[in-house]
Amino acid sequence: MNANRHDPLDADERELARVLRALPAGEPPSALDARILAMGRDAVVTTPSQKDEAQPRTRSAPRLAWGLGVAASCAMAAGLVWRMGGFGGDRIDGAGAAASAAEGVAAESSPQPAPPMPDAASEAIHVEISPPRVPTPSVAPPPPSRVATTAAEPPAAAQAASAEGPRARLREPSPAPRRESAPAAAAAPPAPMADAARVAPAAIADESSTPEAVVVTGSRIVDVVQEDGRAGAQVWIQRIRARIAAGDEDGARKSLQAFIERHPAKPLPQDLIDFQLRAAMDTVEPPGPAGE
Amino acid sequence: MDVERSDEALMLAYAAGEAEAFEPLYSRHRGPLFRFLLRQVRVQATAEELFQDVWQRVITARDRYRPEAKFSTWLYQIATNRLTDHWRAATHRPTASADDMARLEREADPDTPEHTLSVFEERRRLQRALEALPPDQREVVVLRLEQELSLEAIGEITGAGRETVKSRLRYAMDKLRSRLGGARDASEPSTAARNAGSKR
Repeated sequence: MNANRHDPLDADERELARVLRALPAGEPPSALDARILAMGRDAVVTTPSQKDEAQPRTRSAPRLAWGLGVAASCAMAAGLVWRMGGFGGDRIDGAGAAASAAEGVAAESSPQPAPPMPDAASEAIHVEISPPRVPTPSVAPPPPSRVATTAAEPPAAAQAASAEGPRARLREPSPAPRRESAPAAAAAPPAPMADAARVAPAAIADESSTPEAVVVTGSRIVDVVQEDGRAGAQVWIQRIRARIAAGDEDGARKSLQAFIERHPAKPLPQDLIDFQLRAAMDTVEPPGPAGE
Repeated sequence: MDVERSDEALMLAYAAGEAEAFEPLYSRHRGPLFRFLLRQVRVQATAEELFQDVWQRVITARDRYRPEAKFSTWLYQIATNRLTDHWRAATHRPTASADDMARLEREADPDTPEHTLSVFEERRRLQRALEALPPDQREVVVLRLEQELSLEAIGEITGAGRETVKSRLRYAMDKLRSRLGGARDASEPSTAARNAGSKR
């Protein structure tokens, strides 16, 4: 790009250039020369030390800010993970918690009927645990359509549903509400719930065939707790939550105690910690031998 | 030793911390650069201020200098940028106003038939003609006539395309020629008469 840097002047240009160069433009004064030369010399002589001082300062501030930002982000992420169910695969998000709002088995230990059970995993438990039993409409698990619909609902909606569900179903034992949500059955359940979805039709069949009340016994609670214990920590926590949501506080408490014994190192989600404290204060009946 | 080293080598050496490399580099370019600036701003004090600023920028930016660019191109780019800043800040960017042109026309006229165009007068006219040029044309013509730079090199320095440079140069040359040519034409009869008189 610099190959044609200079180009000889033609005759016209040379004549003008001759006059131009003769103009009294002069040169910079010697004082200015001295000042600039000193500037140039000083810049190089003083630069190394100045650089050593200045560079860390200019670079350390962004680095410090960056480091603080990363640390804050990590702390926030850790807090979120802790809040949502702890580390090591115990993450339970709001949708999951909302999805496990109720469970038919949990209703057995409670005089209140269970709200709809949107959690397919919980539904699976119900089916596995009490195949011969025939749950009443109020405590029976909902069809898969309900599972799919509720799983997609926000937590608030799920909570509202779980709060209203039991009473509504006591008043109205007909399985009609479940049939209303039948069109939603087309929605495919999430992959982890595939097993539960497979067994759900059996539950529907049981429910529709013999809508009777479920008899709750202590041995059944123990069975349920044992059944909870077979699942992984995350599913276990979901089941505990489902019991709480269904009003099965005894079962939930025992299951939680069993969980703590089985997984002493697993951090509990805040809602279960709260439940534990509340249960410890409210309970008249001492916790089961597994918990204490 | 430094006489043999190219500008680029000196600049790289200076950037690498060799303080002694700055002086020969400065010596080579101080005169042309100062004249270039003075031709643009026409005020000695302003030219000195800009001249110092340009070298200050060279010193400050020495680490960013890359030998892909000729040092002189880089230097004059800095100077041109500084001039642009100057015109913007001063808000008195000189233009070839009608008054200027009229003044030049008046001055270009020979006052008497006996008027002779001395060298001093010629310089003075060129100076005035340069002053009357728009800055971008003046910049181009000074770089061309004083530095003998090619259109491409001037384009690199000023950031204008080759055709733009060519156009600016053509306009500027025409104006300068018209000022000087008119004066010369006016002076020629008297010169011829003087020559004739001397022969006699």
